[in-house]
Amino acid sequence: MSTSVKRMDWPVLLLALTLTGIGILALASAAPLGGSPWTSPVLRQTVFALLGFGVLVFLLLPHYLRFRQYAYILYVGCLVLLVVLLVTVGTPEARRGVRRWFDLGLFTVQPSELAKIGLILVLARYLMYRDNLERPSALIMPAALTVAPAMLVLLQPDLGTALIFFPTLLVMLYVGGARRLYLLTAIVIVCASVPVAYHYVLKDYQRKRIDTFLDPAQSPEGAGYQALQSQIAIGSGGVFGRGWRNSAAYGSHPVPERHNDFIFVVLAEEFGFAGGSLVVLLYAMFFALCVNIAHRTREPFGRLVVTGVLTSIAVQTYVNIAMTVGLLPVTGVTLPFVSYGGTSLVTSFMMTGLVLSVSMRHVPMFDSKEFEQTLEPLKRVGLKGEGLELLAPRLIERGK
Amino acid sequence: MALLFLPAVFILVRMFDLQVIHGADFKEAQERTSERVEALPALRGRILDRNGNILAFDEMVFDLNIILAEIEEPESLFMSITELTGIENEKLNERFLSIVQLVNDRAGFAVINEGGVRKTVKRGEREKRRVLRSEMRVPYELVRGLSFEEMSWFVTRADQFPGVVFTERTKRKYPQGEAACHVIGYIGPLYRADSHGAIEYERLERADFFRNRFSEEVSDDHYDTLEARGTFKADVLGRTGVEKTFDTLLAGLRGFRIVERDLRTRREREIRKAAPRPGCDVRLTIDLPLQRHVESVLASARKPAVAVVMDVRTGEVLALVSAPGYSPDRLQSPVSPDTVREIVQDKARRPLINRAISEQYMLGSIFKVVTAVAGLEEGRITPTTEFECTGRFRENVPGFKCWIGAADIGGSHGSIPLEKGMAVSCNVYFIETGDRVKGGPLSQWAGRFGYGEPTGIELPGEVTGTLPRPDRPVVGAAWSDIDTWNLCIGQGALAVTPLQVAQMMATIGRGTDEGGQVRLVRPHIVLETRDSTGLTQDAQGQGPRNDGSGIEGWRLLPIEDGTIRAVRAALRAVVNDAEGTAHKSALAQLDSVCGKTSTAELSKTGTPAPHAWFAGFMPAEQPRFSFVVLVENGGKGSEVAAPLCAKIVEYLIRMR
Repeated sequence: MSTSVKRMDWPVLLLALTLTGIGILALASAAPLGGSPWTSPVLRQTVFALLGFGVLVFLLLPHYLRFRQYAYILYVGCLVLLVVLLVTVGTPEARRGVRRWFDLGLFTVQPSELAKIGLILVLARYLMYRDNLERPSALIMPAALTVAPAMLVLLQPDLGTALIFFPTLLVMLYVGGARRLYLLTAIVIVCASVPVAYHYVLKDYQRKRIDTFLDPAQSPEGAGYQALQSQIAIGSGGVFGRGWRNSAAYGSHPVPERHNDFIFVVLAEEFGFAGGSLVVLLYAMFFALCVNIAHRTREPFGRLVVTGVLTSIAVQTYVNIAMTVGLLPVTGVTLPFVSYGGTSLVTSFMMTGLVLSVSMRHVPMFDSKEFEQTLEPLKRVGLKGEGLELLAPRLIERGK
Repeated sequence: MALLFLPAVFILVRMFDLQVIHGADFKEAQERTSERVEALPALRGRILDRNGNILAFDEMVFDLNIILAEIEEPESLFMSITELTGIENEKLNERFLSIVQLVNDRAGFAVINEGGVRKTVKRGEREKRRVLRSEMRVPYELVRGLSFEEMSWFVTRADQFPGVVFTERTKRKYPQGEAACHVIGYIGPLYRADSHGAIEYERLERADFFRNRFSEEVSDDHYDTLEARGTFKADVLGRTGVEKTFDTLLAGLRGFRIVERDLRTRREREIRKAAPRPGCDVRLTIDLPLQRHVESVLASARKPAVAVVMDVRTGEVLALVSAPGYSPDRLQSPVSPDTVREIVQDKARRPLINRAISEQYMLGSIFKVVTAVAGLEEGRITPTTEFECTGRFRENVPGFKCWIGAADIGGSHGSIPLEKGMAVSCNVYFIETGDRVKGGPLSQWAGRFGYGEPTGIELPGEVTGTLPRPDRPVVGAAWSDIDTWNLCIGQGALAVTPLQVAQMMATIGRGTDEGGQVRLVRPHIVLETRDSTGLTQDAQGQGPRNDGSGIEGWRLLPIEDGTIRAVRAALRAVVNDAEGTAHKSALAQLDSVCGKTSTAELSKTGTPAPHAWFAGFMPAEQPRFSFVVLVENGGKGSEVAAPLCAKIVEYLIRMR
C-alpha cells in the first residue's frame, strides 16, 4: 500500500480539489445570499465536496480490478435505477414532465450521473481482451451497452447527458483496438442521422435550442435569451473581471441557472479573461495528466477505465463551457467539479478516484532487463520473440 | 491527442474575442441598461351558454405603476389621479408609503427556497444596496384597474409624469346580471391575512399553484423575483360554480416579458417575451332564454325555490335555478359592505347557496315513483293489483294515514289499482306496496336511482342527501317496519337534492332506449371546452365528472319496459285523471305532461309550511324534457309547485 500511495498521482487530486474550491467560490457569489448557514448552497456544496473526497478515498482502498469483477452488476444496477426513476411519478419535477432525480428529502440523487460510471466500467470490462474488434460485428455489443442507458436518460428527457455517452464509447472503442475505418463509418452514420433525429426524436424545446444556436438573433424572445445573456455577462467581464461577488448576472442582468449549468459565466464575469482562461487551463492539465496515466497503463481494463473517465469529463467540460461562450447550443450539462449539484460533484470525485486507483496500481512500463527476464522461460519453451510483447502484459499480471 | 486540446483552444479564442476585444462594449452596454421581468396576464376563458351567449368574460384594465428611482413629484401625480378617478389623495399617499416600505423590505431581506420551504433572511449591507438599486427601478402598482381612457390620459402626457408605467390586467365581467349565477359562480381574491388568508397563498405557492399557471419558459430566478414582488398575491380564483370546477382550464397560462430599460434615455426595449396563453372557453348546456324564463317564474313565488330542466336524452341541464340569486359582479373584489350585508350575511334567504345541489329536502310523495318501480320489478304488484284504502294504513298502527283520511277530510280512496293510486297519491296504496317489497330492496332501488349519492354534475358543493338503509341503520336506532313505511311515501330520514329528483324523472322519461336498456340519466352542465385556437380541450380531471364520459358510462338499471310504461301511465294520470292531484293546475290543459306532486310535510301542525314539489317530464309520448320545481315551505305541491311548472312547460312547448 505504501508504495502504491507513493505512486499515486498527487497532481490529479490537487487539480480536482482546486477546481472544486473554485466552484465553491463562484457559488458563494452566484447563489442567493444570506441563507441560514447550514442549508446555504455554499455549505451544501462544501459538504458534498467532503463527501465526494471520502468516497474517492474509499474507492482507492480495494484494487481497481475488483470493479472489473463487479462491472456488469454495477451497470445493471444503474439501469434499474434509471428505469425506476422513469416509472416513479410524483417527484417535484414531474409536473413539468421531467424526471431526472430521486428526491431523498435532504438531497437528491441523479441516476444518470451514476450511469456514466456504470457505462465506463462495463465497456472497459467488455472491451479489455477483445482481439476481434477488427470485425464490424464486434461493435454491436458495445453499442447496445451504450444505447440502453442513453435511451433511458433521453426519456427523462435529458439530451445533453445522453449525448455524452457516445463520445465515451467511440474513444474507448478506439483505445480498445477497433479499426478506425469502422469508427469513422459509425461517426458518418451518426452525423447523417442527425437531421432525422432532429425531426422525429427531439422535443420541441430541444429543437428550438438548436434553431436558436444556429441563428441566435432570430429569437431574443425564445431560447436565445439565455445564451445571449450569458455571452453579454462573460463579455462584460473584460480582461480582469469585475471582482468577486460583483457579477451583474445577479441583479440588474440576471443569467438564468447561473449557479448551475451557467456557473462558468459567473467565473468569467467576475475574474475576467485572466481567471476564465486559467480555469480552462486547469482542466486541460487535468486531461493531460489523465492521458499520461492511460498511456503508461498496460493493463487493459485500467487503461480503458482511465480513457473512459477522461473522455466523459472532457466532453462534459467542453460542451458546458462552449455553451456558455456561445460555441454550442444550450444543453443541460453541468461543469464537472464546479457546478452546483451533489450527485454531479460526487460522481466527478468517484471518476477521479478510479483514475487514481489505476495510476497507483497500474503495471508499470517494464525496463528492458526485466522484460528479457520475463521472456526467458517462454523462449526456453521455444516461442519466438515476435508476438511475445502482446502476451507479456497478461503474463506479468498473472505473475503478480 | 490534438482532438483533446483543440476545443480548449477554440474556447480560449472565443473568450478572448468576447472579453478582451469586445469586453468594453459589453460592459458599457450592461452598465447603461437595467433589466426587469414583468408578468403578462392571461385572459380568463369565457363562459358561454349553449347558444354562445356570453355569461362571463375578461376585459383588459390598466394598473398605474410608479418607478421610485424616476418619479419626481408624487404630489402632482396624486392630484391628477384624484381629479381623474376620484380616488382620495390620502389613500394614494398611504399606498405610496407602503410601496417604499415593500421595496425596503425586499432589499433588506431575501426570501430563499430551501428544499421547498420559503424562509426570510436578512441581507448583508452590500447586497442590500445592490438589490435596492435594482428594485428602485422596478414599477410598483399604485392604482389598480384604470380604464383605457384614463390610461390614455396619462400616456399622452408622459413628459409630465416621469416614472409612471402602465401594466395590463384582466377584469372579470358577468354581463347577464343574476342569470344563471349559481351555475356560473364567481371569482374571488385569495383569502387575506389574519387567520385564513396568509395560509391560502402560502399553501398554493408551496403546491406550485402559481408556477403551474405560468408559461413553462419562465426560469426559476424570474419566477422567484416575481413571487417576492407579490405578483401573485392579487390573483383571483374561481370560488364556486363552473368558475371553480373549471378554474384551471379557464385560468390559462401567464406569460412574461423581460424589458431592458436604458437608464439615460429611459427608453425600454423588450428583449424577451413569452406570450400568455388565454384560458379555455367553457360552453354550458344551459339555454339562457329558458334559464331567464324559469328565473322569472320562480321569482313570482316570492320564496326560496328551485327549478331544474333537463334533456332526458342527453342528461344536459338546460336550466338550473336557485332562487334567490345574486349578481356575481358584486362579489368581485373589492366587495362593498352593502354587498356583504345583502348577499353574504343574509342568513334568512341565503342567496349564495345553490339549492339545487347543495341543499337537501324532504321529498314526500314523489318518492312513490321509486316504490312503484320497486313493487313492479320485485314482482310484489302488477299494474292491476288493487289495494283497499280506508283512509288509514292499519287499525293498530297510528300515524300512518292516507292524506284523504286526515281529520278535516275524513274520506277514503276505496279499492284502487296503481294508476289511480299514483293519480290521487294514495299513501295506503304505496305503503302496502313497499311493505311487500320490504325495506332493504326498496332502499336499494332508491340507491339505483341515484339517491344518497352525488349526481356528479360538474359543479362544486354537491351534497349526497340521505338515503336510509336497513343494512346501515343510524346509530342507536334499529331498522323497523315504521322506517320502511315512512320510506315508501318519501317521509322519515330520506333527504334529497332537487337535482336528484330531476335525474330520476329524466330516467323514467328516457325509459328504454333502442338497445332495450334503461340507464340512469346523469345530469351534466358543460357542453364543451375549447382553447383559444378552437381546439376541444379534454376536461378530464376538472373536478367531479359523470361516471363515464358518455351515455355508455351511465348506470344500467334492471327495469323492464312494461314497468316503465306502467309508471309513465300512472304519472300521466296525475295530470290527466279528473281526480289527479295536478289536474286542477294549468298543466292539464297543456300537451301531455307526466309528473307527480308532493307536499312534504315538515310538521303535523302545518308550521313551518310543507315544501311544495312538482316533478315530471314531457311529452308523454317520446319524452324530451324532465323538470322539477320546489318551493321551500310553499304549501301544497298541487297548488303552488304545479302551476309554476305549468308556466315552465308552456315555454318548453313554445321552444320546441
